[in-house]
Amino acid sequence: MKRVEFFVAVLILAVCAGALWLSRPVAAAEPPNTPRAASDSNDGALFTAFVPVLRHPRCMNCHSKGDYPRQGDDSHRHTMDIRRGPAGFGVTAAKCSTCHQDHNLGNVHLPPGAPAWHLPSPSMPMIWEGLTDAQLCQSLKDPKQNQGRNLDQLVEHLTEDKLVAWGWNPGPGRTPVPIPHDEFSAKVKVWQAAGAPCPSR
Amino acid sequence: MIGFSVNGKRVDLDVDPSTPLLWVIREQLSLTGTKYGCGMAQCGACTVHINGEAVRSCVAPVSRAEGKSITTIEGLSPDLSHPLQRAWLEEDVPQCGYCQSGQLMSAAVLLREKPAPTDEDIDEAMTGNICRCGTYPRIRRAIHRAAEMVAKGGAR
Amino acid sequence: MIRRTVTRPTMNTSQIIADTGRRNFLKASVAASGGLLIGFRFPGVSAMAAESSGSTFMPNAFVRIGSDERVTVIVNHSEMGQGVYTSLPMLLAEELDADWTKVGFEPAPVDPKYNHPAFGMQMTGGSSSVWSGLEQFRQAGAAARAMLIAAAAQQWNVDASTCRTESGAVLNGSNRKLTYGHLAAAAAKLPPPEHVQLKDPKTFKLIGKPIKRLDTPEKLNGKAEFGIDVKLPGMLTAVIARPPIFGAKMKSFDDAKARSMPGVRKIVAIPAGVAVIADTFWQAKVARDALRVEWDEGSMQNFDTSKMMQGFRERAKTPGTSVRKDGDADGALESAAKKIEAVYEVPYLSHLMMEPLNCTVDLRADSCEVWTGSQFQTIDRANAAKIAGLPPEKVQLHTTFLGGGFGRRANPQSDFVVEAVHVAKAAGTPVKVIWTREDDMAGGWYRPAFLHAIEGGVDASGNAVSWRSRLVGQSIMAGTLFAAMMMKGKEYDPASVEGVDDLPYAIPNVTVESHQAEVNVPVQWLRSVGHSHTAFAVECFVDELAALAGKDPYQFRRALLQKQPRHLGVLDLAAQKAGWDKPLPKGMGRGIAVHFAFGSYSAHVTEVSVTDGQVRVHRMVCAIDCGEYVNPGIIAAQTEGGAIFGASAALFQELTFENGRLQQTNFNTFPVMRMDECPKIETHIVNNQEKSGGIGEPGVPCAAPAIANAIFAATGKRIRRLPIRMTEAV
Repeated sequence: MKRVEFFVAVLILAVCAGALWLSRPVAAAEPPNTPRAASDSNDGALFTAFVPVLRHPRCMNCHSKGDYPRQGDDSHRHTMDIRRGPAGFGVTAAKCSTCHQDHNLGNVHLPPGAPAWHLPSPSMPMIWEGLTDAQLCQSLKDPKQNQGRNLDQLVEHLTEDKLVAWGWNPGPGRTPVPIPHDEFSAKVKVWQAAGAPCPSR
Repeated sequence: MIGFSVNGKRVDLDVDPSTPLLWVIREQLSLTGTKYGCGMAQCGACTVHINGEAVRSCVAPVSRAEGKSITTIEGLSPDLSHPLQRAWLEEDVPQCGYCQSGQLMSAAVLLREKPAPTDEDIDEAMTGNICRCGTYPRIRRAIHRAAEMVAKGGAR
Repeated sequence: MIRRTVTRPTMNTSQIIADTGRRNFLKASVAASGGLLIGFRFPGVSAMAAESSGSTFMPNAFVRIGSDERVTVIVNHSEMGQGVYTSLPMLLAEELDADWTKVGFEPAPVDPKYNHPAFGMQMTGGSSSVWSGLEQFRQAGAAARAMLIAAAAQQWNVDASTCRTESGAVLNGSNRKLTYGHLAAAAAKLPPPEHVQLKDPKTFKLIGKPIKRLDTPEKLNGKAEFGIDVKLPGMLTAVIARPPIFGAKMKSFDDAKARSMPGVRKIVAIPAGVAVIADTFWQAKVARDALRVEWDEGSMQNFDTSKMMQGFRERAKTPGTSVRKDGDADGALESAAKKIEAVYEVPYLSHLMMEPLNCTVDLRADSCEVWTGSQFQTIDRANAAKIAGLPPEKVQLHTTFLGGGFGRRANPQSDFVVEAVHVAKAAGTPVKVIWTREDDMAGGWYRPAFLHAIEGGVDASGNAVSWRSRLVGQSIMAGTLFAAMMMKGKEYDPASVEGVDDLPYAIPNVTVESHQAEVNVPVQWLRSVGHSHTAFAVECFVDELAALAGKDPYQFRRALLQKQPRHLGVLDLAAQKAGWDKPLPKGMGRGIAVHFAFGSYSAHVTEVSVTDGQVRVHRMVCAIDCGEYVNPGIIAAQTEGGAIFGASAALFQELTFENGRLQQTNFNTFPVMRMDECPKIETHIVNNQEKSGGIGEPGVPCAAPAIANAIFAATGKRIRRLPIRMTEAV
């Protein structure tokens, strides 16, 4: 029974992922050194099943190019010349914590907040913008690009970290990430259980 | 009760913990140098230091101050001797003056972390502080001047 | 320098004894402190002032000298950043030969003695404080000095003419010296001089020097007291639920939830809305937000600014009320070799002072005290008295520092004062009403939106031969007590057309027409008033004419300004300092503008770049000629500040209405220029002995057209609507 459910789930995910794949511009080239072992028969469908969350502005606004955060569903550059800073926590008198609390504030347009509100550090900026799904998947798993996390730690980060979890509860006036949190967590764990396979391209 | 220190003095207050720190500072503690401008961290007039870091007190609940050390403009120096205050005097920066407490508190963090700030450093640190009178060119000059004072050892 | 000794004005008006029975020019009395207080009646009051008081002579009182050597200058204009608490004391201290380090200031109480010499009421506005106070403050200082000399001469038993003064002391011979503090009590017993001799400007020690502002120290340590900082024993704070649409009336309100919230003392309906009175601001604000108010939305519920502007466009196609007619503009247009037509549009603007509106009132059975940052003391006091049911003399209005004014705190209806008196009536305790930023922005009294349609033509040699301007917009005077005064004999509001009615260019055929729009959005003067939009239209259109004529925009203006030496002076100065002829890197452009306003001449040369539709202003070179000046440091600050104020409006600011509701709420939707957007600004002051002009406003008007013209130079595209959006450029 369990196996059947799992199989159906994978099938549905594959279809969804296919649709997503078609809707996205075709990647320029296959990334080099894609480990075959980690590529599943559905070509990364287990990963692409939860990728819409990662691609959502709530996540991408801090995982985008440049040394600054972005804002809004249009991902415009953060106003007030806010920068990543030496550790990802902003600069001098304009640190993230200058305006952001460890929780959201009650009204629209007030600064959103979560514990340790920050961007990735400049030494490991985790820029996802412009990556193909395959590249994104690889970079997520690469300890040299993910703050030294092994797969278990990565999954824990994706499913339990409070700043990541903010994406589901971004406060009034902001669109949350698209997949419900428990569903997202389940998908990440399914992906983990399957050996965290990445799309081949 | 929420306890913290303000300009070196310990205070314990019976106040709704969700009240913005700004209004506790202004109304309960009667330190009115910290100003209300927007209530949404847009203008910087309410900037204070919490454990030395610049914070917009209009959006920081007073609960955030628990056990911390708060510095307001009244505590920047006892006698206008902070290099920034001296530089502000020399450049005759303020016009209406309403935003200047926040400007100084932001600049103080900048100067501590970057004793010789570039124009870019100034942009990055000070862009969250609005001045409607348009004193920006003088603020910029005064920050550079304060940095020179510190470099020459002419100030604390 | 000394700080003001009192943060709230405590001077008792009875200390100022006005001797109306004598024809004496001056009157001294011993103040409670034992010092010398000079009462003063200024003969140069205008007819307007005389009308309002029923007397040609108005008593004034401007200086107090203590036995502690302190010289306190009582200033009848409000300090809102423009430097009057320094420049006016400088005038007095100059003639007094005071020791500048002992000079302080104090805001004047409300009293006809302190009326504006030209406007006949106590007020600050129109960039007029220094030129109107020039004689007043100098004479007051000179008179005080004469009496101090007389007192010293008496003590020494010498002839007064053998005495001299220097840095706060009277001197005689080589070894006799008495300080002003020592002489104060004796001088107070002497009759005031019949006549005083003012200094030869060549001997000025203070006037004309960039003296540091007296109010700077207290603005650097949090001590400066703004209206919002006033705290009285037992004071409560109120926040008001205000109509969401202009003209909406409160039908009913449900305060079940709000009433039970912590700190809430009273919730009352007042004409301005529903006031929540609580122990603290935050309690009042949270409870205010919890109120449920039902409004009768009234006639403005479908009001839409885009529809309004469409209506303005239609109206501009028809002739308006004639403002100026030189020659035959229509005829000259027909016969022009080339012609061009442009429609310029500007939006409603908010003053957006950093300190939101607020007012504190202590209302008692037979008295009322008001603390606020007012630009309109006489009117505010009278309006407060009306609501309090007291004669104006029973109302004391204390002027605090103003956290910016820009005209908003000079409200003909005293809206923010009147409502606070209403709240105080209900509160039964001292109460401070604070407007949230959102309340302040939605509260009206904006710079009106305007449309300015211009047609012009040049002859075959490229000479401008015709100009026809038609303006459509609301009058700021109509319906106010100023209408009769300002619009006397005119069928249009001069404030709507100022800056185009006096078009300085030598064009033989000029027509200016005005259409007054009736819109129920409250409008008012905002820094530089009509000039804030006329300069944009006029200076952009001159640029368009220059392009039509195939001429350099600077040289084109020069040719048309040959009979306007002061226009030409600032124009040349700005162009020369900016290096008008020096090439700029690709993608950048340089624009120029010149304008006369409030008695002063201003020119800007501005450099911009446009990248991916984003305009960046890199450099503004400003030239200013305000005639004889008092403090060039303050003039430079006002010129810079004015340029930034104008650039903020040009680049970012617009208030729009949809279904009667204002769409902007705070700095995020109505932005102000910030540090990283601020260009390099250079100010060059013309040094001459012309009549003094204003300085608070003249720096604003040139900003927008110089930026727009620079965009044309950079991109070949014209900006005809503010705020600037490259997507709308033509």
